[in-house]
Amino acid sequence: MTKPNEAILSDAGILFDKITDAHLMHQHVEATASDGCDLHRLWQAANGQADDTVLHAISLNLTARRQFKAILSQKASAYQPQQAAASSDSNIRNGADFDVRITPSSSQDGLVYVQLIFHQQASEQDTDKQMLISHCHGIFRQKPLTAVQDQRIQILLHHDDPMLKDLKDPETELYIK
Amino acid sequence: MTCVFIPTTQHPVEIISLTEEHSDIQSVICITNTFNALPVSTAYHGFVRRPTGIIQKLTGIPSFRADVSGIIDQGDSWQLSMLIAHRLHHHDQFRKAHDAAGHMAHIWASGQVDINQNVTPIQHIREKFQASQSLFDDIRSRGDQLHIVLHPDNWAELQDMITEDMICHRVSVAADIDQLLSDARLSVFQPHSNLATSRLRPHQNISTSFRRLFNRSWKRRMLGYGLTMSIMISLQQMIPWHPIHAAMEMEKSGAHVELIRMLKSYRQDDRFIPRLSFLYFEEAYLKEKSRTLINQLDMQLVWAVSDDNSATCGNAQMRWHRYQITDKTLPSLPRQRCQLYLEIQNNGTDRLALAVAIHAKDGDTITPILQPAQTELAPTEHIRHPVQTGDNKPLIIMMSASDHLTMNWYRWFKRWSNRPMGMNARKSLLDTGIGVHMAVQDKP
Repeated sequence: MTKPNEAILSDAGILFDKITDAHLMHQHVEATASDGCDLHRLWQAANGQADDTVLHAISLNLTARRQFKAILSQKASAYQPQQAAASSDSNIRNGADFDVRITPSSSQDGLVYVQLIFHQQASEQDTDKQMLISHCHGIFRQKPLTAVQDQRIQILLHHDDPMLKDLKDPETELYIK
Repeated sequence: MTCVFIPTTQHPVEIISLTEEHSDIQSVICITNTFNALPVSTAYHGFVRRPTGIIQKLTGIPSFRADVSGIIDQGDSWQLSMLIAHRLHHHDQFRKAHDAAGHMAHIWASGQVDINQNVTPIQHIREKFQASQSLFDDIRSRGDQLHIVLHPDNWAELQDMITEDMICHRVSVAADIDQLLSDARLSVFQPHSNLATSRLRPHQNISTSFRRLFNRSWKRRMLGYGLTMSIMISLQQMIPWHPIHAAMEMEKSGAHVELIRMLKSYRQDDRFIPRLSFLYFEEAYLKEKSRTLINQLDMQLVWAVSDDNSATCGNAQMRWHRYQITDKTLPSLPRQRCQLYLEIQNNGTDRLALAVAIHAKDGDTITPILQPAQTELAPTEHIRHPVQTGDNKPLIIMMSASDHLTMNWYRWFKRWSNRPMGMNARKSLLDTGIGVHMAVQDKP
């Protein structure tokens, strides 16, 4: 084998090693998504395994936001798109997978009940729902969910909770994972 | 004040408040001031709501929020305390009854309860009792009463730990709980006397009353009573009791057409006493029922305006306003409003049939905005009608309520809705115990 051919084969071997090196690949992916929002973290966040700081970091990064939305669209068991503003009462959101009802407690101490009411078939298909993720004007927020009971999940929020503001905003998209 | 405690193996947990919630809400136990639902909330929801729930069966209310002072992780031993607290709450006695000296009754109860209020014993009762010692000391130091409420088996386990100053109640069936509640209520007002002495008090009152009666000029009184009695007896024979009873039955069964026929025939009766009796029946029973039904409804106009009073109605910038409809007039509403709703809630304890119609008034012309519609409202349930007013004309809101979902009275409502200022159909509704309300806007 001539010298140049050996060099070419050697370079090809190095390149192959680099391509198949998981660590290097991880670094490459990390480098493409700034602020530490690598695909692995996005995947974890979409599975409801990330804390609020990770979601905040995703919200600030345009690329990460787009990738996170794409993963959520695949992973979410239920989805509610933006509402038509004219048809929405701010305390009621209707959707194909589930409806949202917001009811303040009658004791008027700031507690608000948020109910996610699943339509029959959706609830039968998947009862393991862990997280409600909202996306409004580029900001993602999440709330852990309790078990489905009588086709609905009820969570308690304070009336100042930013998630509540998102739920009342027709621009908000909702994902349930 | 009557306080109720749920003992746990860690610490006693006090039930701080019970709030009746909208019927759609799932009952929940929260730690007070935190808005954190406890893990036992799911079981509590089943404990409250029919068909498994005992609380709705007893009180008619399907949803509650219970605020407690600490964490309850698991188990069902909270059920007996919750049942007692709910029953006190239902009789307006929960954390409310004060005596002049500010003494309190504390109920410490633990047990599992089935839908028929049968109590079953629970485990770890000695640990729970031990964990509550500082609470007991505190109650003792204040001189308050402490009621220990347990199943007889659990009581037997604790016999050596219970001290003389504790009032023990062994409960296993509903009657035992009834007795406990009546004792607790009596004793709250007499904190330093034991139950035996508190039961003597009514006899003393009766003998005092008799002495007072006969000490005063009793001969003159007796003469007066005798005269009144004889007048009453002669009047009683002239009063048409059977027809009045039949009329009441007609109203109860929803036979409104037959009822109005009967009322009309007695209005034309020549005999004074029967006519007067039926007049009294109409005023005191039917019209009173009509007023009560309307008073059970919470009627509100709800509208939104944009923050900057512009015509744009982005949700983020909207301010919401409410007006409670209590009389016959409606307020003028802002022209630049974004949305307008009529919201009606059933605040009563019974299911109500409700009919609503909304019109716009233009001089003598009446234009329907919301065609007459009949619906049913469960207790605490509410409906919300959007009110679409294209041109600025004064509104007329008409509604009727009854405990009968029948066409009889709804026909009259539709007739009234066609002529809101007409009196005949409206009078038919009022006369037969149907709740009627009309509110009119002077200016749009």
